[in-house]
Amino acid sequence: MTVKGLILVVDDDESVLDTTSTLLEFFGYSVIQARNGVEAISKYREERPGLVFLDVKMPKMDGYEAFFELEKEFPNAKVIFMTAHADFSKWAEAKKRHALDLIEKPYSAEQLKKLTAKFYPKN
Amino acid sequence: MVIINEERIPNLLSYKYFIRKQASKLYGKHPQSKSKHQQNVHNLLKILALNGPLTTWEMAKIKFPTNNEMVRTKEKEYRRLLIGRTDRRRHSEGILDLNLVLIDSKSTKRNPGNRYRLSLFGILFCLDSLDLSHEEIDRMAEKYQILLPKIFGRWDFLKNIIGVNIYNLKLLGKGLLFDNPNIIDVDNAEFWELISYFNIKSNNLSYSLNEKIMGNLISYWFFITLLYLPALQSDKKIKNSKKMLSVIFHNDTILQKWFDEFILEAQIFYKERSKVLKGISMEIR
Repeated sequence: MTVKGLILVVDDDESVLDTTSTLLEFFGYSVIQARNGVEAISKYREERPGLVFLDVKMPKMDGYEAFFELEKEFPNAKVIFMTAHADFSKWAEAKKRHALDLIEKPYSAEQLKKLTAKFYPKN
Repeated sequence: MVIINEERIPNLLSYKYFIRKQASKLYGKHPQSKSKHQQNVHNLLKILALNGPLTTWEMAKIKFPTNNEMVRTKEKEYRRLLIGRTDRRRHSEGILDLNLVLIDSKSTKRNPGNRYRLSLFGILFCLDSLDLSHEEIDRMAEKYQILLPKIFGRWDFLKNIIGVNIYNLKLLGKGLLFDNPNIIDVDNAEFWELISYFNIKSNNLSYSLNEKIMGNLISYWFFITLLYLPALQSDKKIKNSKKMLSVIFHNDTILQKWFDEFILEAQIFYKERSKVLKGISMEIR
């Protein structure tokens, strides 16, 4: 079952991970973190967050691969991709499989707030 | 009463990248802190947060007001948590080693002993990790107003003007310094220029930091972020933020002068940088 108000942030860059998590907590959400695709899938299975911010380029398993794996098991998983390298290689495929959005880094705090409010409103 | 410590202390980057991470690793995050040790540390920090400087005996007495036997046991436990322990020549660090708590003064009561209190980093860590209610944060502000006179010392005045934004300091507790423009894109130029200068100033002061200077830096962060965070809270954008600052400064000329000096410093800094850029442009022509 999805935990209310819980968001999973996945990024191998500690600064991005920390800053994004801090801002999401400031917006009133609870946050869990993962540092690569494999850890993200494992955390998703354990905690069933209501929304995932997933970095595209990561070690072990990249964001797209992780999403395709996750989507097989949890077709309703809500995932927003983040990319610093304008990597849109598999975005069309991910979108077909109901990925919600893809944002480019650096993103603004307001962008983050609007996206969470749109796809995962608190009330 | 809190006595300001004049010894050198680490900078805010140290808090963000070392102290906070190390403290979270050792003591966990409330309410996930599961081990007895972590719970005891959280209890101790909370007692100091809500009551200000205390001896270990006084801390234990708050926990067990009527049971002296338990006070004696708890007092020893608190002392051990604070100063750590040495067993077979191996020293396990205490809370004092992490700069979260420091010795405030000597108690002059019947049984003399050290009186302990939260450091500024301890206050930030409590805001981040203890899950304090607004009422509890209000109480901590009252107990530690000498350390942060421009925020805690004007708590009710500021709260009347800025409402829940008074609790934004929690974000600094979480280490959000806005020190990396590659992470968060900020289209609010005024905020961005001031927070960038704040980070430069903060790093430049690294070798001369004491509690008084750190208190000032934390206060700069607090007032600068009022240009940004309220917009996120209320969706009413920057005008509202500037209005907040304007009302604060209109009613408190000491604060106004202090903040004006900071802005002037930033202007001089950027003017000098601009001269450097003009110079290089002339030289390579």
